[in-house]
Amino acid sequence: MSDGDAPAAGPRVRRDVQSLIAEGSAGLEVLADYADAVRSMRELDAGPGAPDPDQPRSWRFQAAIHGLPGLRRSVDHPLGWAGCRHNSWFFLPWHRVYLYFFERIVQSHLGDPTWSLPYWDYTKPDDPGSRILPQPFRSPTTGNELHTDRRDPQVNDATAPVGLPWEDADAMAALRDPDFALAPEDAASSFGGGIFDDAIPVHDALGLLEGTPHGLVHGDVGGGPNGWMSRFETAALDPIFWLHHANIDRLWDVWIGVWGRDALPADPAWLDTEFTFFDGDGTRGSMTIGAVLDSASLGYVYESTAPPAPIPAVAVPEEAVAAVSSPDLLGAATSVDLSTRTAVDIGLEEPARAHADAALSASAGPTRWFLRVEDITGLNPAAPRYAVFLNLPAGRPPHVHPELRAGTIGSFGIAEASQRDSPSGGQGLTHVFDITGVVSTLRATVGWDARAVTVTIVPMDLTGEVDDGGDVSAGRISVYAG
Amino acid sequence: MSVPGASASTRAEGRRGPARGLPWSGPGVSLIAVSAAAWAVSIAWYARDGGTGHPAGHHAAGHPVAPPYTTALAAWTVMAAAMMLPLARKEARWLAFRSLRSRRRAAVGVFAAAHLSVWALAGAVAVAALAPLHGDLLAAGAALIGAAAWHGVPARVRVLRRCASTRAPAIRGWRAAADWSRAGAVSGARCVVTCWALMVPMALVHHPALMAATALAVAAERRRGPNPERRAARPRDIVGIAGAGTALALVALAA
Repeated sequence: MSDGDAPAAGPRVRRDVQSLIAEGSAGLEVLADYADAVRSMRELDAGPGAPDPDQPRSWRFQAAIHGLPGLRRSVDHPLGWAGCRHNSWFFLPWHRVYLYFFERIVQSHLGDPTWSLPYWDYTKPDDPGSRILPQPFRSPTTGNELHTDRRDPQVNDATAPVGLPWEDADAMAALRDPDFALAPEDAASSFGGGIFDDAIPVHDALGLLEGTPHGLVHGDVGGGPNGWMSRFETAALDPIFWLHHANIDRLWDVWIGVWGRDALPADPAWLDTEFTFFDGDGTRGSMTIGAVLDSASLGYVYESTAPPAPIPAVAVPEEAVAAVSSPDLLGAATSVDLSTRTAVDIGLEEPARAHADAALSASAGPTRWFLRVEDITGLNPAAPRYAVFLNLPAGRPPHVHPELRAGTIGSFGIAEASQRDSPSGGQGLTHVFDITGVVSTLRATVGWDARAVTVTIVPMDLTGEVDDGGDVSAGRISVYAG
Repeated sequence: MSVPGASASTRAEGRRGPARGLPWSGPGVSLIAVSAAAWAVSIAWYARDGGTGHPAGHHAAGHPVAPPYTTALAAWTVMAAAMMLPLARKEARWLAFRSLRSRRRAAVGVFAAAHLSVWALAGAVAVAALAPLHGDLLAAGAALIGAAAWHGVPARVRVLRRCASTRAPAIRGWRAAADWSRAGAVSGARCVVTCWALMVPMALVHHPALMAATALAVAAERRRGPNPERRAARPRDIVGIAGAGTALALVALAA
């Protein structure tokens, strides 16, 4: 289909799966239809292994677009297999188009063009129940197409499930970031990922939303390397994948609602980039990013696009905006082993520190502090997440000091980015955390000594610290301000 | 949806906004200056003696005479600086911003020196191996056609896409210098792998017009724009290079 071939009728509503369940039989019917469509798609599968290239409407074919075991990650595959875009400003739009065509395939299987993909909203601060994997996906009843054993057993437990940790589901840090995408050399964080606009990209930090909650929810639900949601190459085999990504797509709409359409890149290098998938009738369909920025124009809206909590305004004098530039590096530690709890001291450089202090005392600009965990590699990450703390007292359990948590690194994507034949050549992942709030807390409480900054990284599972973080390491941990 | 406390336009004022292309100031711009100087030297050198290193006359018995080895190697290195440093600017700039402000210039300098050293090493082999064919337009044309074929090889495209994969460096002492140097060497090696075939004709015919055409071909592939993953080895680039090679060969045959 062409860019302009969007449905003419009013937009459908993609519903919150929790409200569908609360609604009773009418709401559950949407999930029953989804299960029917999954069954129908699986019936088109030839069996395990590579999908049938002639069955783009089959389950494994759709999963293969994200990745399947044995398929090398590629941007050139003629059928689009193993081509998921991560770690750049293409992450959100690529997955939006992926979901759009998947939804149309489900509709075609059901013969119901009004069916809409629900979303799993785990971002509600006051609703711990929303962070529990929805019941229809946990029920191990024979023939339940929405259930799989390839998940964390605690998350997937039919009767006493463990919910996702709040810090893994919290989208507020991402939603507060006003920058959608930044140039690779800019050390600051962004909502959507680094700019990728020529044939030789600098592989840099992934966007905040892609890290938390996206990557962490993948790792928490997958629970380990054998969990489908834990790996690029198996994630889309799990039916919950699509509801998780519908929520990520919704959070993009939330961000647009907060910051405005003008906050999105106006660059043709982004807007004119085109993604090709397969439509409900099995033919190829392509859409440019510029054509998918408005969900309603794609025929759907979300039940809610209110932010999980109020987002404070960023009011900056115009002259200060012009002066905003990439923050300065103040200090770093290299070759950090993350296989177990690790604390590294980062002494901030005197001249740079003075520069940052001057910027702080001037208080005219929006001085922000960033912690970058760079070039994270590991082919066998053993923990689903690695919590990062600033000046955590030695030996203290991490849950005692949530105010010192800079952020959390999910294991999702680390192994893929560490493979030598990956697009980045095995360079790994980089996470950026805005630590302005943590620095302010330290200044106001125990004090902030720039000569003695300690970064502690703690491998964790759903319930707490674990001893084995696998073979994960970081090339560098650095502190920036500006 | 309403957000208490601010309108969208007020919020947008706090944004950095994505950079558009590479600015003409700041870290890495020195590479453009060095490249410009290298272009000037290459052109002046050609204007003086046709690139032969023999001011008194560069033809013997109607055939071009290869310049002395050291002269040819120097010319190759200057040519590489002219053509390749602008391509390495993005990585150099990235490396600078991953370094302390006080060491950004040093980072760019060491990176560029290492990058050029790899090209010089490649030149040491190329100049020696191609000396017997120096000045042979037909060979240069054939080499360009070969370069067009190499342009589309998937292995080359894979390396090209990784050209800017650089690890964050150490920030102090010899380890920082070693990391800058390693980044430059890796960048230079990837650049040699992806561009060597286009540089072979340069080793045969030191002509500024050929340099300019080749630089344009390389730059075209790296121009920013939509669908960046499809910008490598575009058919029109391959056809353009093959066309230039064919034209050069025809000129040689006509002469």
